[in-house]
Amino acid sequence: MSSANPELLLQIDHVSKRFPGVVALDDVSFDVRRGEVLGLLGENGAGKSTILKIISGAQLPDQGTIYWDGKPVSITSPQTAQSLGIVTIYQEFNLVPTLSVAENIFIGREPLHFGRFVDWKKMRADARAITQRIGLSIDPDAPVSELSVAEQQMVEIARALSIEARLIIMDEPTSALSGAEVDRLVGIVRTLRSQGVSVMFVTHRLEEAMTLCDRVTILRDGKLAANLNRDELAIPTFIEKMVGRAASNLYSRPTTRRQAGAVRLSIRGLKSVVTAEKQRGVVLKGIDLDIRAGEILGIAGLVGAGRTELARAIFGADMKTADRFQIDGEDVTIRSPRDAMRYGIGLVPEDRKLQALFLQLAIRRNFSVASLDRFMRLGVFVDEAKEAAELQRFRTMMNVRMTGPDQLISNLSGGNQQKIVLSRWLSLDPKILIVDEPTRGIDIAAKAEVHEILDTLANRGIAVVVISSELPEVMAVADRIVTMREGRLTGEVAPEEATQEKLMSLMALDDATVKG
Amino acid sequence: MSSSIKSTALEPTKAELEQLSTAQKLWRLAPVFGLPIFTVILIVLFSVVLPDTFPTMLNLRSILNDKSIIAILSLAAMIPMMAGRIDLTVGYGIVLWHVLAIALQTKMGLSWPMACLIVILLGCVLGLINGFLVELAQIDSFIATLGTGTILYALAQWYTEGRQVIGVLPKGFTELYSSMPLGIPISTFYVAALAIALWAVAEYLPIGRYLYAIGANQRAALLNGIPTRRYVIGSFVASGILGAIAGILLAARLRIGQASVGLEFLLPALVGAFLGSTTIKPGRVNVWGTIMGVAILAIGISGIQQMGGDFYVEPLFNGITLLIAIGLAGYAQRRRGSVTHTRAQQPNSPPPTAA
Repeated sequence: MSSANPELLLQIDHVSKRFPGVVALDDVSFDVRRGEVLGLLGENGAGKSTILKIISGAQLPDQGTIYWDGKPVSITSPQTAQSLGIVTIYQEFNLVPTLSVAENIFIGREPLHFGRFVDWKKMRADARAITQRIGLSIDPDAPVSELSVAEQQMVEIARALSIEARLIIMDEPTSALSGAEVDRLVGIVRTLRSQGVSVMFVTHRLEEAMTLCDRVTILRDGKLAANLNRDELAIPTFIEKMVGRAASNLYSRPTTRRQAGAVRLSIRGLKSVVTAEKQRGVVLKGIDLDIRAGEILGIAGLVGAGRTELARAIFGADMKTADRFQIDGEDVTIRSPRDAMRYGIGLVPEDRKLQALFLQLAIRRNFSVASLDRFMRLGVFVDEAKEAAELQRFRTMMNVRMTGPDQLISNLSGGNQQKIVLSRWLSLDPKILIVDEPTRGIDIAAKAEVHEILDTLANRGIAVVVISSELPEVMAVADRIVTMREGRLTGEVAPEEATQEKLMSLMALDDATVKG
Repeated sequence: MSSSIKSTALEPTKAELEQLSTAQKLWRLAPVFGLPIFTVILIVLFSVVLPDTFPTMLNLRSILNDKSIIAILSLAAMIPMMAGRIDLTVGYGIVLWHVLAIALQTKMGLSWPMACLIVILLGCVLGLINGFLVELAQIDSFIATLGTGTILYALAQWYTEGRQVIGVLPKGFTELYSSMPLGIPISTFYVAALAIALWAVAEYLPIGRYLYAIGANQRAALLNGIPTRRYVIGSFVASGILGAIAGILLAARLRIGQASVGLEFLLPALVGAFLGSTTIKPGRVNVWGTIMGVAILAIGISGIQQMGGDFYVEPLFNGITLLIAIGLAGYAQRRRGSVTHTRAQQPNSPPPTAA
């Protein structure tokens, strides 16, 4: 690789990294040019995180060279990376929630009076100037804990700019954002580019890579799969390079249509109860919904539309009132997840790590935590053999890649973790299974597998509710799609008639016809 | 909010061990058996240096006799720790309980079984109060139990007015501690029975699974239908009852009640449980680890004292052992963590057993 090209900001030259038993990166080369947006794609396990860690100074490569501004550099620590002008924004933000926006932007580099006292006035003014540079109007004194996820991300970007970052690496920046917020982020990234800042954009969302990136680098199994130029960018190419085969049937619908059965769950006038503890959340304002046996009901809506709140209300995790709440035609009262489980309702929550997994516990304990009653010996002891046998059954059925029941769940990939969470609920033989963001943060191959599992469940007569921010996903798996906006249902669409534009207009537009 | 205790399991799985070389196996198993190995080394060392006094039945009896109350308190403290909570009242409660166990007999004229029953009931009430403060009032367990514990301590001071509570105690009561079936102090049997019972509960009953799950992720536990409040409150009640039993045993041992005695048990009891979280099932508090933790402190201190160590050696040894054990466990965990992370990134590689 020539290191003389003045356009090149960062060059990764034949870099390899090994861990015991695993080659995480194998002879990978690519570069980032000045003022461009480079997309980095790859399935989970392709080596994206490792290369990010190497560039940001968290790990050293075993072989290969990194050039910065044409000179070989050794990035031995995050401080080194920062002094070069490389800032990484991770999915989990590095912000102090109790401090203000300005304090977070200048943390550790506060402007000082007399070299000793914090110059608050200057700090506020500087913070305002930087946030304006990315078109963010925000009170520099607001505590970060009161900001939305999207705004917190902007604060991270502002901080990167305040230390004069020349390369900003964003790791899955859009995974927690709603449609409008993504658009705003895209705008900011373009602004950065026009100001000469380079951006490395790691994403799972191929459409984004298509619209936003100047060039795309794709990794697969630790190796470089492709460096694509502007004119080579195309979603089918991305998929082919990422999975190593032409993926013509990605998100394809099963050809045979299911016949939905009787109404399992019938809800009328479902409203959230707002308590002092929970004032901020989205409020459900009267939901009427029937969910049938053997169908997959898709719920589409932007972040903040109340999709997750609806799921939690049905599951008894949040307080609610309803004019009617019937399961199989009988009125039931559900006040807790425990009640919901008694009536055969299961919930796979949206945030696996925070709400579903016990990361430091073994797979078997994660698997059986909700269904221990079914694995008892003498009515008292946990029957570990039976538990392991049942886990093995699901492992085979879902093709879970794991070493054994006592392996820690944190050692599994996102897709395999999600399969264990699904197994957990399936071992309870649920009548109604609500799955919130079934494939968030998992790779394409595992996504297809999860979709297949959901399909099988519906075929078995389970009423499946799928909530997803990814419209293509909802359109691919659902037999019926309802849209939500601001705590209300705003429409129902059959998947044959559904287009992203049509759904988006129901989800996002004020004048959409409000149902019921 | 209630994050007094964080744990991350370090226990290697069989499958993980299979693919490692012998040296790597030893390194990976070191956290599991490090403390027991160190204990054996200490025993051998002291036996060589002090052949006449250390490896004797007399010394064993004195260690067992001395440390059984701490062992019970350690096990008591361990129960809320399983659910990620800390209970400081194990050390404060014992002050009031041992005074009451004697005073209820000598001042109130109650029979000794009645006195014991009342103390145990009060321990149960204390646990309920702690549980309510932590789960319903949502006060961090460290602060809540520091508060209730200090109040208990004040009650003991007020009740005794700084004087000793004395009187003739029935033989039945003092024999709760002084009898020596098979030539071994009876308190050893209490500890053994309690440890076996708790071990069965923690490792083989659903309730143990649930407590560890709550400790690992309370939100997820709730969303899996575990009534987390009930279990956390229950863990404080269990801790309160065991603390009361320890108080009764202390009364039977000392035969005198005074408010200046008991508080010194708090830190060794917590140290025992914390040390326990570094061994046997590293990364989470566990019964045999706790017993191991108490044992190593007992053995180390006994040996050092026999070699002429001063009175301050005990807390010094407790503190140093705790820091080293927790420090090493944290180091092993971080090393492991970096490897774990890269493993987690390789979902598409075949499972290591097949590799």
